[in-house]
Amino acid sequence: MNEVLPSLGGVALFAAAGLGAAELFPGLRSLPLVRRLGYAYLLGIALVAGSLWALSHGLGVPLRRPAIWSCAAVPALAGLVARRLRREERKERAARPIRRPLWRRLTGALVSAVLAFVCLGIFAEAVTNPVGNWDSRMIWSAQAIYLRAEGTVDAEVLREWRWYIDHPRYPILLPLAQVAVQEGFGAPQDRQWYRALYAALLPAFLLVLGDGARRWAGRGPAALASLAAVSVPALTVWTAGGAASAYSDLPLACFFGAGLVLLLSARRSLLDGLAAGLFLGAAVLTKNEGIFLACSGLLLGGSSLGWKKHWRRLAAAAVPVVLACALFVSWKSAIPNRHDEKYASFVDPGDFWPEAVTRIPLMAGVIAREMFLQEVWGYFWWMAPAVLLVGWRGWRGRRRAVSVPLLLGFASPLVVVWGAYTVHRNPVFLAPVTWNRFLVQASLPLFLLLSLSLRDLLRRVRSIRDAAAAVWRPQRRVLARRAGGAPHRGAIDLGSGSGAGRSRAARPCAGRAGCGPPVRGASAKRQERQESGQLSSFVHTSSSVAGNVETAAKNVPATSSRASERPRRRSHRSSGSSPTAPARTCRSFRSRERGASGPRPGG
Amino acid sequence: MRFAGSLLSVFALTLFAGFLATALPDALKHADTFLGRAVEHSGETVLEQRTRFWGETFTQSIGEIRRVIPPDGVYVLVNGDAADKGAPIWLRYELAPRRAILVPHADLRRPRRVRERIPGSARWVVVASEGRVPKLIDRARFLRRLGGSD
Repeated sequence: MNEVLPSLGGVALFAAAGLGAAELFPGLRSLPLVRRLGYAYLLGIALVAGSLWALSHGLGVPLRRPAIWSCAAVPALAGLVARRLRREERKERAARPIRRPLWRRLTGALVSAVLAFVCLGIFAEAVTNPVGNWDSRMIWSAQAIYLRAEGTVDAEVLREWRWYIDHPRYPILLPLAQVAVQEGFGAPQDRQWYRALYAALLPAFLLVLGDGARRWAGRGPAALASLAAVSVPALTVWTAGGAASAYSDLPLACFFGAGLVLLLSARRSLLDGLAAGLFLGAAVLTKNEGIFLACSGLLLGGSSLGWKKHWRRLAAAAVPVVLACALFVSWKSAIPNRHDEKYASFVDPGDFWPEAVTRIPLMAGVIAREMFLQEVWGYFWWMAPAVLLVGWRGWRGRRRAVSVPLLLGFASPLVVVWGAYTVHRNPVFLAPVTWNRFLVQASLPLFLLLSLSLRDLLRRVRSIRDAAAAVWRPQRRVLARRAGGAPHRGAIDLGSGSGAGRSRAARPCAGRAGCGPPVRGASAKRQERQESGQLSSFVHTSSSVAGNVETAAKNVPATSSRASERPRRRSHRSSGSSPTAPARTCRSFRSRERGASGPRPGG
Repeated sequence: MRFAGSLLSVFALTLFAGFLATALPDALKHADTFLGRAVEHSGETVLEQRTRFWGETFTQSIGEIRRVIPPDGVYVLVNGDAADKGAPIWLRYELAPRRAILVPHADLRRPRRVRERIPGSARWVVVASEGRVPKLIDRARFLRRLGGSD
């Protein structure tokens, strides 16, 4: 427990810097605090460690407390000032909280509690034990100790060939983050307070995943995808790349994923492009393969958004990536390489073709064995391909704009590692120590795709349930009539509030010839309610509120979120017919109010 | 066709539920174990923590070497295993930020080469072997044992 407070302090150092910096980016500051925290933490690491690297290498600033606290304080204070300047505006734009049904709130709270408990467990492990895994001690933490001791990123131990150090030219963003925690809080060497830095990456990952999944798939699929992510040992307790280790694979996954999510979200702000670029730039400074991932992130963002239309935003995103590449190359050019994988000796680019294809049979078995390791993935790969394939419809339509880049984003690290297997003399040796770590790097786009597929599956299963209900309820009504009794209330509930929000697919008889009108059998009481405008669906379909957006926003149902989805879905299909116009106006108003961006769930 | 698709959806969701049903309890159990251990070992000193994790002998041995070699000191790290099992890597981490000059096991057969590589500032030699306590040797003693020529 001696470790808890300083460990939390280390996490807070980056979170505070990141929260401050997030105030400068519209796409981040408009998010609710909890969803913003994940990005903020990552942004804090990127800014504090990145600026320490640049200052130490460029200006010779020593890696000591004044520099560390300044690097953390500047973005935090800048954010405070920016927030203060905007306070009046914020008051005017304060949004009314949207109340959800009690059961949804309870379910949400339960899921959050489960996620928090697992994250807390990883944090507890981090403050209880010293780091005990291979690469952490061989590369990242060893580098951090040497850098801290010499107080500079251009340490002699790296620059002189005679000193024994493994992979001296590996990027040092995470070692510098370790230095910031250890030096900033004056930790003795054996007090490894930096371990919480890695443990906190798990909640950051989950928050970014939750944000992206909620943007594109909705709350339910986002919650399920988060539960799946937290259930996978590779991201949590796996000591060769998960949050319980001090490897750089999970940080790279977070930076790459966060950059991709921000770049693909629909905001068209130059500053948001810059924020995405900061994450991708941090990816460059995290691991060697980060350069490939950052470039693929920019390419995917550009191809998804459109180069011509969004070139400014993409250029803003490219600036930090280019600067990070320049810093990395400048830093490592003075370091003689030794005790490294001898890529030059075992890599023969001439082998690339046809090895890229001919090695598939050889490698497929090795890769499959790695993916089905219980201690790394559990049964995840027994489930994921089926869910992704069967739920592929969730990737279509408007979501194609994000699902295709996400799919390619998932493939990017795997293409990089496959390139290595193609030219490596002994890929069967290489695969067991690399494949799963590259899967971790690709995991954020993967879980976002999973959430899109889950959304589709849930909708389809819901449609089966509703179809069954649609068949069963009239039968019950007929049976009741035959028995001479009054029709059961459920028999006339086909178009009532509970089903009002369902899509046409969910109500197979709705509007079809021979099936009658969708609200056939509605009771007089319900019709009265409709006429008086109390029913939520009426708010959306009535032309009487079309001209008054404010009124429509106030009348948005407090409890029936499903009901409010109905006009949205129709509006996409019917390309703006007149009854849906108020719904779209209302939705866009609410989106602005909440500051949300990107395609909304349920669309 | 639609019916088959719906069945497939149910199947896929069942798989997902099955995955969560098996994996989520494991994740929670791990978290519970970690939290339990954190409570159990709360208030430990660094030495107690390291002793619990690495064992008493190893921890004491590292402590003794650290006391002898100053933090800005230089030492020779000899790999005592013919088959490289990574013992020098672990030992170097424990002794950082002391700077190490590695002598691979194969080089022990070439004393002259080893002598050339060891600078005068390296006054200590540490031998690392898998599963054994690291051994601290005086430089002169090490060179004597190494022999004179290739």
